[in-house]
Amino acid sequence: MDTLFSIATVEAGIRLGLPVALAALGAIINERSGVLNLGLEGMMLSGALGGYIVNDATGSPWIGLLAGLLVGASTGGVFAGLVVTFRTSQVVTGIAFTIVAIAATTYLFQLRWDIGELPPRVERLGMWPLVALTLVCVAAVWFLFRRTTLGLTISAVGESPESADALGYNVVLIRWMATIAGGALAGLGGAVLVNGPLGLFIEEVTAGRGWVALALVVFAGWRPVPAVAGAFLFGLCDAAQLRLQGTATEVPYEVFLALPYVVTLIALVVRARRSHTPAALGDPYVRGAA
Amino acid sequence: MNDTHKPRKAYHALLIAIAAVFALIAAACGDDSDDTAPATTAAPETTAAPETTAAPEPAEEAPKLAIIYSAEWNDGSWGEAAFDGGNKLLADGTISDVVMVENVPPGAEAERALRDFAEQGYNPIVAHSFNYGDNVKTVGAEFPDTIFAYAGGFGDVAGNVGDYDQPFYEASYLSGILGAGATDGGNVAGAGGFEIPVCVGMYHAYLAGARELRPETEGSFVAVGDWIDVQLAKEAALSQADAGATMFVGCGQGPTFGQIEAANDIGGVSTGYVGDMAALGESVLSSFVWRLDRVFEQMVADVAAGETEARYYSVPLADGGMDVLISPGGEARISQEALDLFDQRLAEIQDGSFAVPFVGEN
Repeated sequence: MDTLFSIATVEAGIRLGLPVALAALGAIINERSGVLNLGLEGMMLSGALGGYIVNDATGSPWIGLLAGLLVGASTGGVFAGLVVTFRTSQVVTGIAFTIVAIAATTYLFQLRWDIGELPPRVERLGMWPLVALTLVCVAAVWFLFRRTTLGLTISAVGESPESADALGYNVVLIRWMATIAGGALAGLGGAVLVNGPLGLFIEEVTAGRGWVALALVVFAGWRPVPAVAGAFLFGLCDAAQLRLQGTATEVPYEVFLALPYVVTLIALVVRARRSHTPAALGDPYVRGAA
Repeated sequence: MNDTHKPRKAYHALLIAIAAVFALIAAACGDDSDDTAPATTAAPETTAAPETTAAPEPAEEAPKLAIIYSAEWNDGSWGEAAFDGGNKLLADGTISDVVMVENVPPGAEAERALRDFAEQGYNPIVAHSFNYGDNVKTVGAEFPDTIFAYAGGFGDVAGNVGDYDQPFYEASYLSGILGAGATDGGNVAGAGGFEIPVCVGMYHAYLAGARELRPETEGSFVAVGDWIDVQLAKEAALSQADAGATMFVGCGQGPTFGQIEAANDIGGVSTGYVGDMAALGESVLSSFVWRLDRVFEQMVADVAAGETEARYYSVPLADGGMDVLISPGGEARISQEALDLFDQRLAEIQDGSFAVPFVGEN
């Protein structure tokens, strides 16, 4: 039990929380503008592969992170093209996007190495630079929505695109920008996973972290600071359950495995009662249609 | 604006459903205590081209082998063992043709593939994941003269549908001897995706092997809850390291990668799973390679003999079902006592005078 309440547990929780926190920040920017991004997991995964390949080629995990950011931004651009410009269903497009990204990253990854070859491990960053990076991102997103006109405009577009349009804001452009920025942060989250704690890439390396991030955003009421706190809470639950399994208890280990998800589930149910959901979330904007 | 209420509710429902699915998977998968196929989940890439290679001299009567797999062959582990096995039999001339298809998701798609190969006259047909169990039984009933086998690993045999054994615990015992011979002390950390007999058996065998040299050695087994989440697996291993583990043995690709990464970080020793993982870092002291060609050979021999009843295909270490490989440079790190004991136990397993105890429950 004494291993449960230790600095090591907290550090493990932070390492597990970092990629989820960044992806959640990305999802907040997307969703505050009214774009529901169920492609988040796919964007993380794309960023993870981009970060891995570039790190492998250049030997620099920082350049790898930058690559993850850029790959994430481009996937955000593709997504924006589909759901903002062509106004496809955001739910269907998002899920399809993730499925395609899983297949595409697996394919591209396998193309690079022949059977019998093990993909190399890449240079890794320590935990603290990544914590600093994440804190900078939280501060930036918080500042964006609390202190800038641009942030208010994004929120206005997510709440009432008709009014924003009537005031002369370009709804389509703002949603494009928000989707690209969100994708960039999701990609960065994936790259952090690969260039930070792991140093390697495998098929579906993000293993559902994007979905966790999406749930956290609801739990946090679309606010950056609670979302990041939630990501670390989720990480801490995971770190704790792994340690609980190591201690001899009569509790079946399946209960521990379910713990992080049960906490998320409870949080969602509780939060859903007083929701701060952007009013136009998931609605494509068609000028003059409302 | 009234219509905005609906998608919002739907969104909540969707997220809750997704979270519930994860919770259920985590809670329920462990119940499949017979799940012995640590294959990764299927990539939804469904259009993989069959990789058919013509045999150099097609033997007139030699059977044609088909293998399907839910993920990628190129994984340095589970998939690659089957891919290499199929190719080896073709090169030997034991079979006249082999077709191997990756990324076949269990379910309707797998049944279509199995049916298709049976119609084309492939026999035996191997479904290389535990998750194909239902599919081989369904299609097997339609083709009673074709032998099917899937990676059940618990003797799930009925009629023409068989199962193949995964006696990894035997190799794991030998790795445990080597691990204790390369460390000054510390405990054993075992991990698998879920708490299934194959994985728990590997951990207990490793621990028993280590105890031959250091009887006071303790250990722990953690179910990561996932076969692909390397980060979670690595954190599991690090938590075991905090509790004093220095020797790591993983079961399933993700859990093994995580254990190897953690062992690299803390300077412990780790073990490659089903394939040679020496390239993954300093810590990989030994690996075992699963010789699936020997397993497939049994099926092919049955088919060639006109057999239509499947069985539990099993090739233990004594019959060459696995090779235990010491990583390059590893021997210098292992004590002479451990190397001698390793050789002795290997010889005893091979001549049948020593049986590695199997403990499948934690």
